[in-house]
Amino acid sequence: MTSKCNRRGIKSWIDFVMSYPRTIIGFCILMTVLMGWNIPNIVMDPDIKSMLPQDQEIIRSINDLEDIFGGSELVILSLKSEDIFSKATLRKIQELCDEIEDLDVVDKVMSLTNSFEIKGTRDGFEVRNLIEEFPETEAEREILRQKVADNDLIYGNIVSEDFQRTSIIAVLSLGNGDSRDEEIHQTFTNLKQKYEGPEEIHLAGLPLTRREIVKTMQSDMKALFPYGIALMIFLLIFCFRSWVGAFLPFAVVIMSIINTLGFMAILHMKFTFITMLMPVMLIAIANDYSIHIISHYFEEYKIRKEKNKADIIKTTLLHLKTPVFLAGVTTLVGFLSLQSHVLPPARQLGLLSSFGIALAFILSVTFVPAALKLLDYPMVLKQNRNSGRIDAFLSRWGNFFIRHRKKYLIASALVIIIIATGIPKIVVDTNPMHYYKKTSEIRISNDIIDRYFGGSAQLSILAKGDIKDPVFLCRMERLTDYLEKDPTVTRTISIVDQLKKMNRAFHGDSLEYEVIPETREAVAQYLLLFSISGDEEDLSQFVDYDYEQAQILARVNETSSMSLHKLLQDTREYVRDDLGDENFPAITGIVAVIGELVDMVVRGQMRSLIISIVLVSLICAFIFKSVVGGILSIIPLSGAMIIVFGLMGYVGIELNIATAMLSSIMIGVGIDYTIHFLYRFRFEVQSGLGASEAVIKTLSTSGKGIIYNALSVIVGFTVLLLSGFMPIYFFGFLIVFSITACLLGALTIMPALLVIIKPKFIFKRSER
Amino acid sequence: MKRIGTMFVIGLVTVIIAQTAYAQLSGRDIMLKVDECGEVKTEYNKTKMILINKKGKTRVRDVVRYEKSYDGEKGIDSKLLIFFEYPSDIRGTGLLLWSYVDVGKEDDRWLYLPALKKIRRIAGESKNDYFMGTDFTYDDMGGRSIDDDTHKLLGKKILDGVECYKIESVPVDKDDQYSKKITWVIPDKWITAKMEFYNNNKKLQKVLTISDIRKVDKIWTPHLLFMDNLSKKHQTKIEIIEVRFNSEMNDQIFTTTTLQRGRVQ
Repeated sequence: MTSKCNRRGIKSWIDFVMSYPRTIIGFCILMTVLMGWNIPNIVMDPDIKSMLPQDQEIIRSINDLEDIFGGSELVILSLKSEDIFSKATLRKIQELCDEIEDLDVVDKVMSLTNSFEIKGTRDGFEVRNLIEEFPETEAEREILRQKVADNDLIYGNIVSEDFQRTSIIAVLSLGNGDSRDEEIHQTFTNLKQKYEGPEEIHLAGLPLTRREIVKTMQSDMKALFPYGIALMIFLLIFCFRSWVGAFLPFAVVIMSIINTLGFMAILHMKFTFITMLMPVMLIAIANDYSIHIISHYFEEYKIRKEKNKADIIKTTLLHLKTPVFLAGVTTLVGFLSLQSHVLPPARQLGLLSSFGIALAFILSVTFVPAALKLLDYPMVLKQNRNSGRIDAFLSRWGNFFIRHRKKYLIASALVIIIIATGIPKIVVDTNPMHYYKKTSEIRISNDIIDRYFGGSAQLSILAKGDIKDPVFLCRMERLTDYLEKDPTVTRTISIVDQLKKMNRAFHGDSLEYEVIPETREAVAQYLLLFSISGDEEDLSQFVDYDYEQAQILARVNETSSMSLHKLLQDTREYVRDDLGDENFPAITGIVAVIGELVDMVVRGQMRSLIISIVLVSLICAFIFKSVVGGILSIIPLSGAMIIVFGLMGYVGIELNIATAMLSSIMIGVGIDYTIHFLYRFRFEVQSGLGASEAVIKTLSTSGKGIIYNALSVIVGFTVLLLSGFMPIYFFGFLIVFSITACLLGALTIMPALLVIIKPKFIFKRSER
Repeated sequence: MKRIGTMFVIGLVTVIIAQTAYAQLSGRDIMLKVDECGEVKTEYNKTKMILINKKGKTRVRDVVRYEKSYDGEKGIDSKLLIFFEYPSDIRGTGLLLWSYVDVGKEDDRWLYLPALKKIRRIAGESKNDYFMGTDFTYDDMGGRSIDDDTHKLLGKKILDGVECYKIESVPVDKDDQYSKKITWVIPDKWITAKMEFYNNNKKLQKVLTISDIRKVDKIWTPHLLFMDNLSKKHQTKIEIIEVRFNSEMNDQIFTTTTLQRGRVQ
């Protein structure tokens, strides 16, 4: 496998490291300091739109539409009262509205107290405040209730259908940024505190969600990072019983994290709740190589105490180079396969983690040996008393799976098949609201808005053409009629509704006139009428200044991301087949983003899964110079993967932006155990052992390393269970579960399979 | 001789008194003069209204306007008739407005849409104070009485080479749409040259600039009004194409019959 030339190269490299350890350490530290200098430049990005590729049509058109029709972001304040029409509550709403209206970040406020109604009378029509005077008696309140129930712009939108709640909708002015979101949050929270009680007040809206995401990201970073480090140190001390053994892998991880963060800053990448995973990944994975090297060094040291350090280090590195290098390469392949993912944050995480892992690998063969050379021999090196017991356990373990190999393989196959039936049940979820627990304040508030006020998320559709032309308006109406048939759509709003209402009001409130006006002139004159008796700004949200572009808004009750995905697909299809794409060139809005992400999560997952599994099996086939070897190596992994996805289906863990990266990471990390096992097993067979003996020998030598390695990864990832983001929490749970599955696959299925198949690529030479 | 002398003395005193009065004009006096100079019996004008939104897109509307003051005759303050002439799809659309002396009495408003050939009465208030999509509120266009505000002379300031009175007007009504207005008045002509409007948060909301002042029917008349609405990032330019004051206007003009005809005969 290794040519002489290669071996000489490595040897001279090791000689170099042994000769100039101080230079190497100094260089590593200097590089880390220089790279770390950039870290403060990294900014956080909580926007769900950043999850999509920025060259996506949807992202471009969201920006276009906001440019034409003004900001579409809302803050909705919902107020629950025993009687929302009581004088005290109405006065409170009025005062709240006045205060909100004066805010710089707010363009416009809609509420019960500033709602108008245009009503047709016998010889004309009236524009009146919905509430001209606060009702005094129950009879007056009943009249008002009736009036509200008749007004479909208010009922179910500003007043809940049970009359228990009312909402104040603040349309925000254009602008963005963390500090603005924070300001919006502060202002509205203060208002809430000021006016709350006895009325119950809830706040919702995208800026508030974004701000919550930033806060959660900050608290996550504060929690995950220190706990991860602490757990790692604890585990290292536990394994090595040595300060050196604990300190060096720790130093490698910290240096690779700092360098990767610096790299991130240089590339102008932002912290999203996905890229935030990078330090945790590195804590869990990047210490692997140095652990292998140090533990082997300790073992060699125990055996040959008389030799000098440089020699021991040399032997260790030469002995380990292939498996450690392979483990590094396959992990890199897994992470790099995330490059094929459709979602930018997954690609970024893949790139960053690969960088960090590659760096950790390099540090493990430069910094670590250099440090070992300089440092004293390990301060504490007690004989691990448990070692014997673990060996005994592992050989019992090996014997068990060899003896019952057929039964075990059939049983595992059955279990895998049964669990596989859960795969079709997997639900895709891309709604940023579901980052949070159902019991979290932000979810509760949002659910209230969804349930009582028809949802806070919108699908916006751009209509392009002669907006004054009744034929074009009819086409728009066909689209809104179509949309309203969709169960997720609670209501649609467009210029068509306004014109129909005006037409009806102009004709003595006669219902038969609630239709699109017949002529272009009539439309033009109604539009002028809005500027005389209505608020023309109300229209600017729906039609542009030249009457060439209009916006249709569909408010959506956020059910599942899959149904939003279906809504998006169906609408696109309907527009394409029935109305013509040229009339409705953009279907966009946050709902479209959520819907589009569904596709991307699924496609990204499939693509990176296939690429990583193919690459990894190719690498294995190459290592063992055998196609069978390549296929065999991925069997335990595939079994583990099926179990993980089946479990997701049965338990109801959604496939989302985070869990969509699972397979690549799992393949990259999980394959290591199989490779280590196969590599050692082949070595033992080639040294003349029979299949069963070789299994037992492999388990008690590499097996231990594999278990320690997997344990350190598992422990490293358990910190994700502390995350405030549900996708990250479940990602952590699943990765722990899947690494365990990979480990068990490598240590149970693999031995059983090897004993049964006796593959040629392992046994041929010994048979000869 | 004695008579002449007396007259001279009286004349001299008058001049002195007038001069002192002139020198001691209060803010209110100046604003009153501006009001009085603008007071006419009838006004006819043809204007081009150019509305400019924040992206620089424009809407142009040609408007013909007839207004007659009734000075409280039958309780009527004034009558106003407006026709749109351009763009063609709104040509003939008209608005008739009768306003009353009694402040509590709601204006009577009729609207005619030629596309529907129907006249409708519009009752109730306007949903907002802005006049037909412009940046002028009804108040800005002269719907205010002198004592709706307290006026304070801030001094004389040079504006575009002309020494103007600078006056601060604060509404008596605390709930007014503005917290204050600053007006630059050109002495002699008693014409407003510039106005700043401050909103309830005491922030500058709008700036009105008036130019192209020409004498028409012995009255100094601005021919170009430009209102820059800073808070809405919207602008309105009004160009007066034709204007006549105090010409004879038949009461028949201000009726729904004329409104329905779509033009004044």
